Amino acid sequence: VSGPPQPLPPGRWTDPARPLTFTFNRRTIPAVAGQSIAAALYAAGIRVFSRSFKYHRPRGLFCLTGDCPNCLMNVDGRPNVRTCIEPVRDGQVVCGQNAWPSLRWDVLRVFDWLHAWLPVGFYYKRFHKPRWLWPVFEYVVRRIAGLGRIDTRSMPAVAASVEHLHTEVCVVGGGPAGMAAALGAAEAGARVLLLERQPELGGHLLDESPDHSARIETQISALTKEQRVQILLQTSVFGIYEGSLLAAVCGDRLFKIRSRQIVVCTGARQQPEVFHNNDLPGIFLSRGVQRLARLYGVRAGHRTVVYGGGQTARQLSQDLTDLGIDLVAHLLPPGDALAAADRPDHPVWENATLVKAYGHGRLQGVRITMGTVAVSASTHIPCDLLCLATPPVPANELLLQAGMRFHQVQGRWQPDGEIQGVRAAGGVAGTSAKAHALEGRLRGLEAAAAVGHVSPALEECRRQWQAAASESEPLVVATPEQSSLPKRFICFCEDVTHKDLLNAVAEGFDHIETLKRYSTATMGPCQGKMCGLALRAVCALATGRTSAHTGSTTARPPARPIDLAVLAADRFRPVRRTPLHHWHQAASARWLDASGWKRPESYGDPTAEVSAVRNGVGLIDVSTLAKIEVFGPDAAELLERIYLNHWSDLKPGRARYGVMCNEDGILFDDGVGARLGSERYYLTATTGNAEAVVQWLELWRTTWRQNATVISRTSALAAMNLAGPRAREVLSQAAALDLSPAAFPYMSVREAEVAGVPCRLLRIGFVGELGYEIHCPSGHAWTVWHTLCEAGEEFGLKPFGVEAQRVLRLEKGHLIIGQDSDALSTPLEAGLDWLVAFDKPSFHGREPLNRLRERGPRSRLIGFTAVQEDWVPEEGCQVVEENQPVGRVTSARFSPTLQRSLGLAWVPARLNVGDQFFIRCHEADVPAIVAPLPFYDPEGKRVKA
Amino acid sequence: MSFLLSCPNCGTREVAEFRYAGELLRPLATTVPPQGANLPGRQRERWFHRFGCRRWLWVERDLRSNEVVTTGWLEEAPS
Repeated sequence: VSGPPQPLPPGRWTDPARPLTFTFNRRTIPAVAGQSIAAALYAAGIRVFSRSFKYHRPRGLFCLTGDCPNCLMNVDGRPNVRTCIEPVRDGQVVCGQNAWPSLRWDVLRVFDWLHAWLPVGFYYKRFHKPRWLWPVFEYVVRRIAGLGRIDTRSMPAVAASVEHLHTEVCVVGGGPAGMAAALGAAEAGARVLLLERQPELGGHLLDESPDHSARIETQISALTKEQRVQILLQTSVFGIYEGSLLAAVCGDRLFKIRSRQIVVCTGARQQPEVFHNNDLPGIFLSRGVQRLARLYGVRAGHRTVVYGGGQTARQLSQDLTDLGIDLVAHLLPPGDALAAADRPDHPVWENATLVKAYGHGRLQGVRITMGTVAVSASTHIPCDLLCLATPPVPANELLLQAGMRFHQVQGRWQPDGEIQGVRAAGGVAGTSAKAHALEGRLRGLEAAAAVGHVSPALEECRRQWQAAASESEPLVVATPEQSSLPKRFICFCEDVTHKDLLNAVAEGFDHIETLKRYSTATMGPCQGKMCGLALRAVCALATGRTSAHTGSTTARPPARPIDLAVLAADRFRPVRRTPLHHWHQAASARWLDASGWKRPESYGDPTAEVSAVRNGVGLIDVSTLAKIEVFGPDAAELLERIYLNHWSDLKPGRARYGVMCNEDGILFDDGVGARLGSERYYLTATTGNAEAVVQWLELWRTTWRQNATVISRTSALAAMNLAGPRAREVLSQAAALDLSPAAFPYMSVREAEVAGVPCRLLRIGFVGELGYEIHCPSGHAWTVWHTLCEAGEEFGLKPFGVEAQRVLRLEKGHLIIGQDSDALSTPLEAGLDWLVAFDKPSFHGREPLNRLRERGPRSRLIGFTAVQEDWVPEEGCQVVEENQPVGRVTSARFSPTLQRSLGLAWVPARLNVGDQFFIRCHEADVPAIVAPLPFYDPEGKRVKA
Repeated sequence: MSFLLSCPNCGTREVAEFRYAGELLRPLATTVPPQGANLPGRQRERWFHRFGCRRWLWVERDLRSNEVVTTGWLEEAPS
């Protein structure tokens, strides 16, 4: 070869007609559409792509498949983007990471020269004494450790979404095996989903030689003709979970795939060789060199050394010559010899071992030994590129997650046994390249047969496979050599060397799982893709165990790095709106999110709303309340057993406040219920528990096999509460009903027309005033509401929101379950002891409450007023005694009616009305006094008016 | 947890459609709350098909493998 080499033809994925630019560390870089960021940077002469985790050594491109950690960069504010597979876009802002001041000159490189003082596990050994220095260590370590920085200001909003897919056969990987598997399964009659992480089907065929193009095209056109096959490109599967659930990600989309059969064809990958300075920029996996040239049209170097044996390495030598890369030498590892017949025209060194690579910041040459010759007698070979044609190992993360185990046969890793519903084919199963398609087709046919589509071709295919399987050629596998040279990296992600692993084993971490945790090998971004098998081999050798006995570390999802935003992708969460939503909207309501509902918090001035209810009349939308009908011969008995109080003695037409507990005697829900007939009840429950209460009633109805029916009417009915001293005057204008106290007394229920709409009216007093809760069909809610508003105009009727209601009920001392109670609150302690009917033979919570009654409660929910009348503690503040927390404030507001601060709090049971206690708020202890409840209208004259 | 459960009404569905409600214990006369055994092996459980027919089921499941052995209506659960 003479003169400068010809430029390479454009890469398979690039479009030279569409040039674009992006910036890298403020420098403008030209690129063409379809290139990856890293390929464009490499073409622009960038060689250092990142700095290593611990020693800050310069790292260059290495795998080009998105497996290794060498090309992680910050792209448009997103840290740790694998730039070797990330497509370049116009105007992108790309920055290096883990380096200061720049990737080329990194101050912390000093750690590389201090490596002797930073042995394996140094942070466990160095940083624990003297103890007082730990905060300093922690500050420094936290600043240095970690990979990539999240800039919360520039983080792009990710609109991630979830999609559910269902199929009969799912094929993971669209290489030769995967394409054949999908075709086979579809021909047999199965519905097939084919997932490929690259932008194109073809797998490793795309990288190797342009000769494969025709073969790929044929397969693709056969697949696209097949109606039963759905193909998803740029979709990488990162987990296999129980129930044959696959998780895959495509950009911002998370796929949850249920497939009855799974065929994994994720192929094989190469792993690095272990020698001194094996991480220098300029050292590539051979497939990386091919991908850089074939896919992106970029030449990795000019003078190369190839290391590796077998047919693949020989083909590679030819391929590199085709790419215009000058082959300086081909190193054949021990165990592989050149046949007399094939004498290539480039120098071949047999029985060669790589000792070290040298160069400052980039590869300048390698030093090798031949056979048994001593290291001192080694040979230098200058070069700017080293291609490691290491033997393929299976990319089997998903299979390991599924529980499959692997063993080595003639250098090939092959699956042990079978896992139900999961098959492997091609490179991932250790099959040699020429049998990939055959095995893929067989597994596809088998998977189809397992879901009931038995093809006549299956038996013939199985025979062909059995014949082919016996012909697979053995692979030459090197074992890690012993050497005293220090920088022989096993784990690139975490900078763990061969020596570190040996030291860790010597220190007693000789189980592969403890060795992993102590040395942190395989725990970096690649998750063992580059080093898992080397770790296994070193561990086996150092402990004198077999590889099978050593085993491998546990594989867990995700198999590839994914954005947390994708995992956090919002599920389907509908917003619930009441039938009066648009009225509130028009009245400029401030919204409050309550258990999925939108509720008006207020219409601007909650204090005025409170005052309207106390002095005139107010109207609130309470459509979100749970509304439940229970009917049947056993309805009364069911409620007797569920609620704490009596329900069978309630007379038809009357209403009652009821509370229910769970089996442990903990407050569960409360609400007002009414008896409509001898076998018919109408119950309300809190908004947040609407689902749970219906399920609870239904569970026990079913368990006790009672003849009753439970129906939720929450969405079917709207409800509104008309409350205030003038409520009767307003309602009388709209309702066809005698509203006099004698005809419609407090705590009773009536059915009547309001504004011509059939309604159910409950006379109750949650807010402590004369009030009517009006329940009507949702579709007519607007009419009723509007009529009441019009009728109330002359009485100064004001709509009020949740905030005003909270103040009003607090003045009245009514508790809200969930707000004023928690998972430890019992009715006896919450001031509801008057309600518990211990005379009933059985109800949920009877026994635990009985025991508590005998023992006596330890704390109590009480009302309090602050000594300083206008001081309102924050809800959640602690009640303290002698610096110890003994309770907490659950509700607190300034009462516009009583013109003072008041609230509810849990305090020790021994405190009585008039006693003083202290609330800790912003580190000050503020006095408060236990007050009698209710604060407002203690005789209850107003609700009964 | 992503196994599949078979609802007698709706057919085989993802477990996420259901609510788990503990071991199936003898029907309560509501005296002392009975305690579950929570032992490895097969267990009878109560499940509610929340995003389906909204009915209560009983399920026999192997706690070690999440293999679902039997499902049926809670009313018809063996006592």
